[in-house]
Amino acid sequence: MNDEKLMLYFYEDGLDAAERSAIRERLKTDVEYRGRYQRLCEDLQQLHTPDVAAPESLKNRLHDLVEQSAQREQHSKRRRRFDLTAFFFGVAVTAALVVGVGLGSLLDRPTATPASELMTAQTVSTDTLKRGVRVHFAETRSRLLDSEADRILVAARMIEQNRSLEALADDGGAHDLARILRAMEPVLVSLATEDLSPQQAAAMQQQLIFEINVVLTKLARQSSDSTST
Amino acid sequence: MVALLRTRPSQADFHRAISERSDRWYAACLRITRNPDLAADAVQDALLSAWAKRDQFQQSSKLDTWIHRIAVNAALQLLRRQKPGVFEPYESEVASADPGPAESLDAAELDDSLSAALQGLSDIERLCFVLKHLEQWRIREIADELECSEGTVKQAVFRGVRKLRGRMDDLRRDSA
Repeated sequence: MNDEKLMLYFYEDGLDAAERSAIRERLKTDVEYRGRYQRLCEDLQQLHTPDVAAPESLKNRLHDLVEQSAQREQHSKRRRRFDLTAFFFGVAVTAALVVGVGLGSLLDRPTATPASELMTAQTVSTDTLKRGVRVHFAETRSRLLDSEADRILVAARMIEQNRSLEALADDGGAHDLARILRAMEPVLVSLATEDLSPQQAAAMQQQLIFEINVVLTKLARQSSDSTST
Repeated sequence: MVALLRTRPSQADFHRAISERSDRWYAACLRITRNPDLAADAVQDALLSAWAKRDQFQQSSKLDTWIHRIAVNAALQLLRRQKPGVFEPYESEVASADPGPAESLDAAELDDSLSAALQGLSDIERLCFVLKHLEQWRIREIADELECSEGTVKQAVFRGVRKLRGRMDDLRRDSA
């Protein structure tokens, strides 16, 4: 029996039960064998190296990595939360508009409906659209003002909603509204561009917020005019 | 029951583990790779991997031990990538026993008699010895990791131990 078996016996690994038992028995009776095993144990117990210290730069980098990973996670959580809000907002606005426009076109049909009722129906349809557009712009403005929101994601989401509203406005005959929405799209598309410098993005956001404010004021005025008439 | 044992370690837990145990992770990776840059990369990879998988961490084990194990695996992977033939059983014990110039430099940097003695082992001997003796892996685990037979691992550990004991005898004689 060689020292390889004794080494495995020391490690309590790599021997079957019979081999372990045979070594155990021999160690009890064979003095020379027991001496060999003791020397092996002493040597193996000394075979340890002190830990070499990790460079300070590495330790600092490891701490930074944890910080950055945690921050990235927080950021993506916020994005996910925003995504969900924006999705439900989009669904709600679109649903309201579809119902409004659907109702409007139903009432628009050439039936025996009196002219006064037709006018009311068209007003309902256009008003619903305007309300939707106002909410859309107000939401866009608030997202643009939220410094923590992801610019590209906000712009992409708003382009999607802008296009839905534009199509609904065209379908519903509200061509002025559709034009306003179309005019907004190039700015939103520019905002969704990845390679904007922070200064360019901020300037564009300010321009868009200004234009949205103008449109919102006009829409509010039109709305109050139609209510008063 | 398993779900109860799973407690996601916090950011503070990771910072604490780094402060207290990164020396050990680095030292283990350095013994395996013999290259300070690779060892640092392995520790860094391991930390990122542990952070990404921290939902899988089980409370029954310690966070630093868990990262240590991931770091050792990362070091082995990096070594395999850098030296594809490193885990293959050797043809000649003598031919593989001479450290190259780069390895001699690493040995000087390590500045420790056993660490220096480890440089005299072939790659497979050193890896098997480090994983068995210092990292306390099972022979089966080492064989699986290095994709070789258990017999090869046993022989490599035995040869490594024999060479190191020879070196220890030399040191004892020198000091006597």
